[in-house]
Amino acid sequence: MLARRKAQPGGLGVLTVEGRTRHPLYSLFVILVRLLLLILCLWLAGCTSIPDTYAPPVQRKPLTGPEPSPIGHFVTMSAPNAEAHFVRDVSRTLEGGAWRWVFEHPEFIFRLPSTRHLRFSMDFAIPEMTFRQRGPVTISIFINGHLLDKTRYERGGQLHFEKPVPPEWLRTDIDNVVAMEIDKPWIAPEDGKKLGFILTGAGFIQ
Amino acid sequence: MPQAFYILFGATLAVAVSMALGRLLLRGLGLKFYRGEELIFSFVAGSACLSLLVFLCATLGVARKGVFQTAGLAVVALALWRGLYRPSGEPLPPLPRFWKRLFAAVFAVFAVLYFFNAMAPETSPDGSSYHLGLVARYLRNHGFEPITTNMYANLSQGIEMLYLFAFSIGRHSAASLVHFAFLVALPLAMLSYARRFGFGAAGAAGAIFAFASPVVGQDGATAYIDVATACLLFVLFYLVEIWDRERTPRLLIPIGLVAGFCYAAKYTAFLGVLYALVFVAWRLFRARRPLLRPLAIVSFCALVMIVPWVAKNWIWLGNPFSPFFNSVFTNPYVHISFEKEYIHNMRNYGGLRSHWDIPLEVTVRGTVLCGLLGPLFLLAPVALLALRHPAGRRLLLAGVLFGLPYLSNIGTRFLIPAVPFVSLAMALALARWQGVAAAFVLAHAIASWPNVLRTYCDRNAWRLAGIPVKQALRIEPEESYLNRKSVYYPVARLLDDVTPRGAKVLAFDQIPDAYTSREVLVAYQAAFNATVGDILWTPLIREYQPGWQLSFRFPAQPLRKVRVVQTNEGGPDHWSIGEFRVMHGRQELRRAPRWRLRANANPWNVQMAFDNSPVTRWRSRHILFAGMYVEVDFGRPETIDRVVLECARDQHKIRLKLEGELPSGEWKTLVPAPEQAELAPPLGLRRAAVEELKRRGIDHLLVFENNFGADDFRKHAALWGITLLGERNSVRLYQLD
Repeated sequence: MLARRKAQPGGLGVLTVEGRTRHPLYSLFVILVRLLLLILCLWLAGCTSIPDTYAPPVQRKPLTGPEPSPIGHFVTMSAPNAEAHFVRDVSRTLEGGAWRWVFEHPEFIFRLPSTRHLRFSMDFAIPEMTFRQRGPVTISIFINGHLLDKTRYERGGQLHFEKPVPPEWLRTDIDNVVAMEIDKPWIAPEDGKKLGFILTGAGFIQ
Repeated sequence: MPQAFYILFGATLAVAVSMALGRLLLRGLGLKFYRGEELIFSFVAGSACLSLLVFLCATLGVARKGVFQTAGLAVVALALWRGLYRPSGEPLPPLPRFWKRLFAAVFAVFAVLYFFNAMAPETSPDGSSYHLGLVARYLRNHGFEPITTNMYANLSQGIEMLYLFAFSIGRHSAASLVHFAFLVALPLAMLSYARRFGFGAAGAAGAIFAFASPVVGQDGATAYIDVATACLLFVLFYLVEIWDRERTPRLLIPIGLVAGFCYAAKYTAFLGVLYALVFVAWRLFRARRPLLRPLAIVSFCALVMIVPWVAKNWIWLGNPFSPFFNSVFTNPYVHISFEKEYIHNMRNYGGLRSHWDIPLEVTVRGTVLCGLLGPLFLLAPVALLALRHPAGRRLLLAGVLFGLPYLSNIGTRFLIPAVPFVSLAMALALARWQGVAAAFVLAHAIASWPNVLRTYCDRNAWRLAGIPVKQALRIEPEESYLNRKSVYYPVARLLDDVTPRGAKVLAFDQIPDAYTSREVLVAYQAAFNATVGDILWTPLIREYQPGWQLSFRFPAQPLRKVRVVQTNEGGPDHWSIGEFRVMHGRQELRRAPRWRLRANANPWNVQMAFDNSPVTRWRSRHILFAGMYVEVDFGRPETIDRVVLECARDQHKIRLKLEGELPSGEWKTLVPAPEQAELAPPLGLRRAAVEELKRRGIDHLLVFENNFGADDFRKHAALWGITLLGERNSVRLYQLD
């Protein structure tokens, strides 16, 4: 059906369809065009100015350069600076990329930025098979010469130790020494080495 | 009593203005209805108009009590002057006397129950939190403001616009009474429809089935929106049925408006628009009549109601349908992972042992799925007998269609939109045996009465407990009732009492926002909140801390860009990076302002991997997909030999490789897999987390007794750097020092 447009004094045309006149506002085409424009405007408005790249933000603390000291408050056995924390009786061999054997009297040093609200924490394991030879094991932990805890372990497996440390035992100006004593080492059948337990990480946490 | 007066005045004015606008519209269009129908259609169509006008006021920043009151009274005066309140039209076909009396008796008794409950101080969980919380906020601001920290503000809020009008005068209870008006309108609409189409007795029974249903009453007597939505959908159905019989073209205008208002009321009611368009198209197609113009009219009128809500979201949030469809309209305000989790949770309520328990939960028990329809609805399959009746077929079709959103949320109230249709279909099936139908009406009414209800439903079922006359009339002061009835109302008041104006409070659970003027950011309600919640939990959860070092070593060379690419797929892991460090020898490259950081998942948080904070991390907020990357553009070639990531441990499935862009512009893989090492847990995380919250404008923390870490906040307040300001009902408010 063809629609013819006539001129009108007011400037608006009148659509004539089958002899009936209709105001252009009622024309479906006009409605659709307006809708399209409206949608287009909304679409553009929806393109909010959210950037897709960002500059680095304000840095919260100084950049990590070469550390003034490789000794920290906590050591994981796989850390590149782990050996800096060992005083004695800790294996120099990293096993499985994550753990080391400690022997009868392992000792570590740690440096602390503050002494308040700290707990000594240790993730370790005592292999079940070692109990058959040596029975229950007692581990004593000393912090700067003070006995923090003495715990008897009846079973092996993955273990976690955590206990608050009195702030007066700790120092910020010098290294803090953490020593451990294993009452009954396990004698490795292959080479006769006296082994204590398997350590994955130890140190101070909040 | 003055408070009761303002409540009634606020609600009455909102309803009266709606009716006046509706009459102006319907009579302006020259539409003729039966007398009873005109009242209902005026109210519903007028409420659509009022909602739109209030939206306009809120957009222009003139949402004020004075504006609403003056304009409202002017509209009512105009309607009175033009005699629009005088009834016109023929009375509807009469109802048999027995059914008339039965309907009137049951309707009146339940209307009294609902009225006093609606007028009592608002304590419903969602009503007093986000429905009215947002309304109160709009009124405080005299209009809308971009809200990016509450996903509920992104939903369409057509009914809340009516609440805003009433709330400005009579506060919370006035809003609930507006919902009560829809609750009353619904059974009247059902009855009118049935009388017009010749099954009045069944209509009376069906209307009572719906009206007396406990969840319908409970919902409709609070500032929820489900009953109003059900009323809109039913009136839409009703109008479409009238159009089908009379084919009055002008009727398509209110049909379109009401259909659009369905969407404006609740997203899930968009099916109303679909129903109207498909029905009109189908009937015209069958009659071989032109389709385009009628459909254009319905669409246009519907869009008038829909577009404002779509546009508001699109402009402010970049997602017209926020908080949904975030994968399509990616935006920083709602995480894609949250949307998926939310949808999953809505389909699987905690405490529901099996989906086979749903029928009993939604009809008899009422705790797990929040509300019960009443045991009568165990007989809902009887409605299938109505398929013999043409009206029954249409009712059931509409009921099934409008009940579909239940698949997305299995809470009982999501069945409410289908209830009127199923009720009428059940009544149609039972109407052959008048005595049986009447017995069911009485049994349902008795079983739904609060005193009887408590004998069989779960003790904690969401339901009305009685008729709180003293509380409704404020003979018992509102404060006293709210303190007694709402566990967390005192918490809302505590916020106003001890925090400064403009305080921002982070919480892990919702509180009755409608009773505080402070902004409460609930951790799960927006991306920003989830991010700060994550920061706050980092000191408490070892797996969230940067304890895993991934190093990519390669021969030193100049590179323009480096990019760490994740190559694995699947959930539930998300990828995250605590710090992304670029090294040359033992020295880290200074992060220069010219650097440009980019991520192709959750790009808006990429800076969190470059801020040197041990408590923040960029998270993909999306399960793993191959090709996820985080990229650094140095802005010029830089000689480097190592990229080090410090990551959290909660992402066992990730597989990473490093790519670099040479000065020539060519990309190449530098390292196919990183070396791994453990990192020491950093000290001072608690304080760092609080500092990050403060940096983001949050100054207070609200901790519920059962929140994760509640004990740690209490025991180590000094370590966190927070101070306890007060405690109400085991909820503690801390100030961040």
